[in-house]
Amino acid sequence: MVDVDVKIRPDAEGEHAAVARAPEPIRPSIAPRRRLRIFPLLITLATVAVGVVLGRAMWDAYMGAPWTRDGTVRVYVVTMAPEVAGRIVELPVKDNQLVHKGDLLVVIDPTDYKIAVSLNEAAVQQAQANAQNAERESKRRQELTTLAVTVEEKQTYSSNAVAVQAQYQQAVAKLRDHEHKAERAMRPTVRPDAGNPGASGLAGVAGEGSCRPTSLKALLAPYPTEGMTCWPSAFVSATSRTTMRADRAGQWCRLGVQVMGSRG
Amino acid sequence: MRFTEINLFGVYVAPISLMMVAAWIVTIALRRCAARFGLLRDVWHPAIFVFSVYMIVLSAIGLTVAAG
Repeated sequence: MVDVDVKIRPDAEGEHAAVARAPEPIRPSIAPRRRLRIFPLLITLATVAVGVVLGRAMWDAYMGAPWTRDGTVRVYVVTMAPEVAGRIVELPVKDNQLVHKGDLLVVIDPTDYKIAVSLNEAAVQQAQANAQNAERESKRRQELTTLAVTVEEKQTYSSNAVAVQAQYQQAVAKLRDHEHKAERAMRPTVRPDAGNPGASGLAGVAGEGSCRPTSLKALLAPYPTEGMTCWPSAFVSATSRTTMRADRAGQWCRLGVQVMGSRG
Repeated sequence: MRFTEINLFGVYVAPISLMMVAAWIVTIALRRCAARFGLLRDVWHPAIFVFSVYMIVLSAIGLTVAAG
């Protein structure tokens, strides 16, 4: 086509050259076009980033929210029993409060446990005195000759000293046990395994599957299965992620933790 | 956390579906506005941009509902 054009109008060569030269002034406009190419990219990427962040936030909010179609909510229940029994004297948690691992849930009346500790301290002192006395008696007889003490008597006192020493050790162990119990009474806390139904040390679990929430919610309501009247708010609160129930009527420490959480 | 099933002529539908429709309508309006002023020409990939805007609108609606 160009050849034909050339053949037809060979004198138009000068015009063609002018047309070919014409694009030159456009060149300076290439620089702003390149700048524009970076800004659209940045705008698009920034919008995508904001969309991803917001979308993730909404996903968490939407998928984490309890929902129901038939008016019932499946609740993961982890009943948590305290290690010692007693009256509740302090309840630092409020209804539906979010509690974390290690938080203090209740304080059980420590009076009995403190008395037991002092009784056992006294018993330890007594056993210690007995053990020292038996040891001295035995030592004294071991130093005497067989003219003064028979061999049998020496052996009897020797073994007696060992037996009384063992009694002393027993008293010490008993004291440690009571000290531990008194400490437990003051510190019934959310245990690290509270959210894991398969873990040991849990009294009972209702619900299916496993969930491992990092925090629980405390719910102070009578526990229906403990022979208490059912409190409707227990079901209202079942929509909250996790609930803990303490028998408030009797104030006896039968503590349950209700867990309802997202699986994970 | 107030996501409740919506009764649509006797059929309960998930709240997300209505939110998606609402976000879609809002996005269409926004896209028409942007197209009128030629703003879509200033983005790298109009389709990705519009989808991201849709996600932002949907998330905004969802988070507003979740907060309310």
